[in-house]
Amino acid sequence: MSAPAIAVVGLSDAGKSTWLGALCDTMETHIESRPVRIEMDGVPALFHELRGLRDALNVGNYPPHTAIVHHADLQYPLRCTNAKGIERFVLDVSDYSGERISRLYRRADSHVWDDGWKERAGRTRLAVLLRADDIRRLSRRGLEPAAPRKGLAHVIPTEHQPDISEAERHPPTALALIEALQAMRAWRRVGMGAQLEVGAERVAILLTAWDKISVETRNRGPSAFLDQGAPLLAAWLRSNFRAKDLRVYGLSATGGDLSDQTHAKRVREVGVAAAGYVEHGDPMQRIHDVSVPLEWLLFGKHLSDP
Amino acid sequence: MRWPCRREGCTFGDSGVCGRAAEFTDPETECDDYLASQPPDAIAPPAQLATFPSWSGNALGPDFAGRMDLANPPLRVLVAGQPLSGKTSLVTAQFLDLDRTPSTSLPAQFAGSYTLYGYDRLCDAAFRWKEGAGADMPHTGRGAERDPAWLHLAFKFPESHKVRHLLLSDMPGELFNDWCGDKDGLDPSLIVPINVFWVVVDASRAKEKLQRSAARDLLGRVGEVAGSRRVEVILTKSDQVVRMSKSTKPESVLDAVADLVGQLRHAWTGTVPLQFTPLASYDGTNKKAGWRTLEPIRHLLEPTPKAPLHRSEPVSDRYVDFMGMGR
Repeated sequence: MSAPAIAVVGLSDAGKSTWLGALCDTMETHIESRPVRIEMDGVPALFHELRGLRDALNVGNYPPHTAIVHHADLQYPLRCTNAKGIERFVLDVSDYSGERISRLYRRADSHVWDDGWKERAGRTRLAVLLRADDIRRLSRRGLEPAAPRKGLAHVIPTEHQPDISEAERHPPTALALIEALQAMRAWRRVGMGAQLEVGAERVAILLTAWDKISVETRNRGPSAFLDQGAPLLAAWLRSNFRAKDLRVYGLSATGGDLSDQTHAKRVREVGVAAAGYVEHGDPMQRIHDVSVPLEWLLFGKHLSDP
Repeated sequence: MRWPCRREGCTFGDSGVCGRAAEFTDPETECDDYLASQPPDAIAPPAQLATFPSWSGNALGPDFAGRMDLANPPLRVLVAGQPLSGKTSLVTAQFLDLDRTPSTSLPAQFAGSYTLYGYDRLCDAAFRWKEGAGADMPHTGRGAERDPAWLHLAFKFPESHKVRHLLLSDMPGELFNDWCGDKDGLDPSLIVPINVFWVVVDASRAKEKLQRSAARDLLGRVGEVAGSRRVEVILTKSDQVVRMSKSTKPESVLDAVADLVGQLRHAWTGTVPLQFTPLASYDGTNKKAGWRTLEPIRHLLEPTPKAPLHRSEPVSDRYVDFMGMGR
């Protein structure tokens, strides 16, 4: 039986690269007291890109956007080690790049239900990232200037690059994510609004840049934030997934803004693994381990919880 | 002779007399024409679809809308109205409100849509629109690819876990002008599967004789074909009525609207009670989102009264009540 796979889904600039870099540092930072560990499960060369992201963060910089998610077929073999044994799984960050989701949403003729989407639709464990401080609503369409190309754009395959003519038209966050997720379910022939048996599919919503949200809003919890910030997406998720199979996390992969020199200096000193955190639950708790959502996606619970 | 039954002598919709009484002991359960006129029940969504419902994201054409019937029959709404009456603005504002506010105001929760990109394009156009710039929302023009087009929404009921699919038409108003002039101006095959009629009337033009006449004509056509199907008159641009009523001669503005409602009720030849719903897709006075835009959708999601609907029921004038004008 093949290892389960977790797919990472998010639009451009959702914070995927930053999370993956922090995740890499977490996996390589040995803390003996941690009862559950997500670790790399292969030779170091397999994780070259992740280490590049981690290195950028640990010198106090954000990774260049598009640095990783546009490479073809990036699937990382990982394992979760805990008191009961080892669970091997694959982290798939390749076929759900932001541009591909945008293309799927816009239905550019050459990208309708391409083979990648069909193949990867089998993923039943999804980490969905969206920036808490930049949820694009319908009314914001067309007002945003085209983002300058940066990072490793010159090595990105053409099919993954944004359409120039559409570059200024970022799709609304909720609509694009709903379209991608309902497309994946449709490929598995799951009816719209159907909820499968508990554990048959799980979705972790990761609200990135969580530290940029006001304390008062954060204290109401990530789920409440999603209800207010992306009501349509929240409603869709609740209609299509069982409550036990849906978890919303606030994620600050770097624990603060790296453009703040004070915080960047701290990250350089302690490492991004120690700075980053997730918040979840009611009452809300903060955990300085950005791999926690993967643990939940695998087991449907946090093994380290009492 | 009224739809749904095509037989001479059938007045089931009016008086409960079935034209095929010799064949049926209970037309409500045995008459295919009658059953076809009833809204489909919401059903539990299938965990496993028979086929992959490949969709484009844009408004649906008749082929796809037909295929949806296989899995879970949609409730089809014909959004009828004269050109510039506010049909497209209405369906756009409804989606904007779904995206803007938690859907706790509705009895069911948003569960998906096959036309998200189509809605997005409408919303994008609405956002670019500036009040007073003329032309209102981009006009849904004639064209092979848009004629007819359907916008899709799915809602899930939290208690029963059943899903209701809605298909809202987005058609050019000129088609309804044609229909008023010629009863065959609309393809009958389009009318037959309709479950609910929304007749969209621009309330801000209630004083215009031509407008009132056109609204009566359209409602007359709907009355000819509606049978026992639900009909809702949606009074759009009511924010402008409010604004006008606060400026000059308020009584004349409000009287005009009340008069229009009265005329429409009087002209109504259908068999079901008319429902009047005033709303504003955009509140121009306060430069913000409109109000009551989701009311017609709420009505679609609430339990549907089953026929026979020939009994006479008093029609509440919701517009008048809402506007606080009294009777």
